Amino acid sequence: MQIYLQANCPGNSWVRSPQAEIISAARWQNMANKKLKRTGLPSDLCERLSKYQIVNCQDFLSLSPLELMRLTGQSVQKVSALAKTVSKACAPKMVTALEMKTERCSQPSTAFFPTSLAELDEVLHGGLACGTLTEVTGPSGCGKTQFCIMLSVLATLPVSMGGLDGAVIYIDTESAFSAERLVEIARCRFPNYFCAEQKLIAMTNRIHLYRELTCLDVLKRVESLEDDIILNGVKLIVVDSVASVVRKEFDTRLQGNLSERSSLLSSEAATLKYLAEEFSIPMIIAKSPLAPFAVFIFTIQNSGLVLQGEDSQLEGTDPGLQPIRVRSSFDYCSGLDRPGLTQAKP
Amino acid sequence: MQRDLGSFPLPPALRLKLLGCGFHSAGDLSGVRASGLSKELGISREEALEVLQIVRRESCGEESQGSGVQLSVRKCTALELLEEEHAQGSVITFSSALDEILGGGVPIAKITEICGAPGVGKTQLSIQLVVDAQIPECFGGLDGESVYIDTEGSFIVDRVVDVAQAAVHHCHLIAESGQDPAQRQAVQAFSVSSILSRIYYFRCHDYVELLAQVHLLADFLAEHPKVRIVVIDSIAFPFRHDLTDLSLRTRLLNGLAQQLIGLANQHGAAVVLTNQMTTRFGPEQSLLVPALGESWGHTATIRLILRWEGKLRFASLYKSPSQKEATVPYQITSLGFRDVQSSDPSPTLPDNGTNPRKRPRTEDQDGQ
Repeated sequence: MQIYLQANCPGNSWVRSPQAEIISAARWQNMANKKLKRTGLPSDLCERLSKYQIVNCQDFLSLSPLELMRLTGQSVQKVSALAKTVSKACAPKMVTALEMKTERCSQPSTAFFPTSLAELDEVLHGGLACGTLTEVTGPSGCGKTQFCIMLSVLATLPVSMGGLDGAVIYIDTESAFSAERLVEIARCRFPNYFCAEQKLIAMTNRIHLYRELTCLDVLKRVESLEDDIILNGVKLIVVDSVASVVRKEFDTRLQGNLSERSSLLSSEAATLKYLAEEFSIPMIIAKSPLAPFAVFIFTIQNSGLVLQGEDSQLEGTDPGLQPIRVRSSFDYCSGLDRPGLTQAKP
Repeated sequence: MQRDLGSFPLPPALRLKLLGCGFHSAGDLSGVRASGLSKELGISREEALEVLQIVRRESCGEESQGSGVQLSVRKCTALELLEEEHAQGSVITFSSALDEILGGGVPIAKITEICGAPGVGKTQLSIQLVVDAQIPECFGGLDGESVYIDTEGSFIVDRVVDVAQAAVHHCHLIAESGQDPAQRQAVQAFSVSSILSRIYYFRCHDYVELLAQVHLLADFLAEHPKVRIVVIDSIAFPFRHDLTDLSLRTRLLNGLAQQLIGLANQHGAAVVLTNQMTTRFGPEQSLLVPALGESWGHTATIRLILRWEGKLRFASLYKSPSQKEATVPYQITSLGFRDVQSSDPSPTLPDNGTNPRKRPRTEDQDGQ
């Protein structure tokens, strides 16, 4: 799901539905790397193939039938039977959509992570879908980090209050995370719950902050997250922000940097996606095909983000095509202003 | 027959041995017994028997009508093909404008490719199609099952439930307003859970799993003969980010395409592939073109490009052997993929008797 924050005094939040871009492709490639010895092929054949450096399923299936015939010395029928054996070892399991639905329905509380912004949650069918990536984008100063901090607080709350009752991993690349702001949001948004000092301490203890300042560090951290997730019972992962490190290190005007940058980003995204699916964790950085377009207006206050209402004028348009307006002045308003929105150009 | 032994599908080592012993053509092997051959070549009797069987079978196959092991070459007249095409239906898209430009819907036994920028509706259209393939025949559907191969993880069950509910509701409305008892009976069995139970979902995380799954798909379709549509969403993603060797990529994609078209023809299923867009940098400007390269453009029989234009979404039929190029607007609602004029799904679902695939002939005005 892509939540596009646009500073448009006070601000819009676009919620966008079906995308088909970067997601998926497990970096680990656990099935592709499966050794041929474990697929049920006869061992003498595996020996013979390993002399040609064909050791796992990926190597085997990338060959054409003619090459396989030459390397294994078998006839074409035998070779296709062997290909089927190897395929059975690494193909995904079939599951019907009905089974998927019953599995989801049996654990409704863990299917969605409510954002506590009621109208947004309604449009999203319950909140951020667990097991997917959600991307929050927008120009500087519009509230992305505030949104992330607010969601971190929510994730530590018990399930009865709409949280995930789990730890949070926060990967901060801009050094923008402020623990004081975290405590302020917690106190203002849930004054009854966080009245006791211990609750605040417990909450802050569950948010694990990692400061990574280069692309490689971020990539390494993301790839080593699996152990931390299992150890700490992590239920939310926030990466704030993916773009800043990449922009600092890759100058797209130089040739070759564009492809290198995209491969770095896609490998990051692939690992994050695999972790999200494997551990059923909502992550903040990508997309999901659920809700139709909707636009909300929000302001940033002491208690974090607060929605003001829906804007029906701009419904159904592609936020990527709208001109971005940048705020020239900052106003953390405590009152609730509702200025008229400027017209969006088609 | 004096066919050269090198042209038979024999293992290469055996072929060398045969040549070494002076067997050059099929005729040389006639009259030779398995035990004799095994002694001469120094191979086991089973292997010798296998060689003789392959050679004999290939030679006889040219005279007999159809061999059991290999697929016989299908010969039929164009008239038979015409009747076959009329009998086969197509998968409707619930957008009457799009169905019209496609000639009734997404056709069976052909590969249809849907290209578009992110967010324009490719996954939504795929979800609509896997639901629509299950619509009972009396409502103009195919009453079939669906296979969904997901490489991106964008298949969310809740959305499928919404689309399925809308389809079921629509069929109920037709059955109630019409007088046909067959429709009423069919609509009893057509429910959201029956639709969901007949969507077979595979999640492939990389291109190796995708290749493996397509290898096994032939057997799967043989076990589930009612499958009428196979959707791969998307075929571009695993090949764009994991493979740096472009020639390997082209070869693998061509192999996949060959297998898929074989499946489509053999099992009478429609194959729908979703593709992404990439930017081609030109001297003056850059263009948005379908990904995976020029050679991939030849594999799909029908190409549909979805794009944004201002506030509206448009679908263009870019390549088709039987339909004219055309562009229609569409929208994505909470009910699914629909036309733009009304928020209700297309009111032109045909009743019994008219063939939904025939569109009225009009005089061509531009005189082409």
